[in-house]
Amino acid sequence: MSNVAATTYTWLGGAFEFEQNFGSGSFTTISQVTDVDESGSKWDTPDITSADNTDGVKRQTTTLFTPGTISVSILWNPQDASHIALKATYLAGGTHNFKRILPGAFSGGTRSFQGQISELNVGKQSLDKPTNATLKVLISGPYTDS
Amino acid sequence: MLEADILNKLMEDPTVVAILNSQNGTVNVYNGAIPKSAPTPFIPAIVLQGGGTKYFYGADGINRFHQKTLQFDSYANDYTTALKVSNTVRELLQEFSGPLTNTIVTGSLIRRDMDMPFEPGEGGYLFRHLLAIEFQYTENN
Repeated sequence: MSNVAATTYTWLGGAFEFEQNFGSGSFTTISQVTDVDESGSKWDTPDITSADNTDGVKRQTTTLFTPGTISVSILWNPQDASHIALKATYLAGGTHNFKRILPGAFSGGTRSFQGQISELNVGKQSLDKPTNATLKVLISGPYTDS
Repeated sequence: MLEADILNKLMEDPTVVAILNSQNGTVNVYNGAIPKSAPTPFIPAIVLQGGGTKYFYGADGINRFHQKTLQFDSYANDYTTALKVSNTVRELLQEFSGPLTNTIVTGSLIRRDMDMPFEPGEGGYLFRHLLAIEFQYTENN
């Protein structure tokens, strides 16, 4: 571990990017992202215990992999170009390419994947707090970390 | 800088100038404290102080939107005048929004409006009324 800069990290310096036009190779970085929350990644693990297992201990195996969901919280600014583009991409529907880049620019810190924007909600709007929007992306198919 | 913008707004407002009974072209509005070099009469006076700022960050850095509370202390020789001066500031700023020289204020919220203990001085008592307003704003630069 001697050459590892940090043993954990905050999101400051990270980036979440999306491709407006699928396959264009041109990614837009969403500005003012405050939180990225990855969840739901799991394997289906059906029970394969049989009568041959006489030791009284269950067996499972792995079948289908669910890559999961990424939720992104954004300090929403309706005049921000990246937010305007994100909203247009969401309303257009379809599958898009995304990148989640961890802060620090290290090998393995960039996750590239395809997915669908399933939700984009500008949440509670208050008199005395900045407005936070939440983006939810369903990862569709395998992802790569580079 | 928000403090300078609000100071100028107070100093340029005819109602504030009138209630401060400004004389010889001096308007008794100050940042931080009434300076010892302030010309007499130095009261009634308004003193502005920063009372805390909320900054917001995204992964790509600081947001240009800030929320800063400014405290306006209104000083006078008697209670009623101190309150009237404070109320003049409140009426000017309680719903203020708009562009200023260095900032764009998008909202103002009153946070505190209260009497403070009088302060004994050589020539009598000095009365103070505190008003705290939170400004929502962005810097121009």
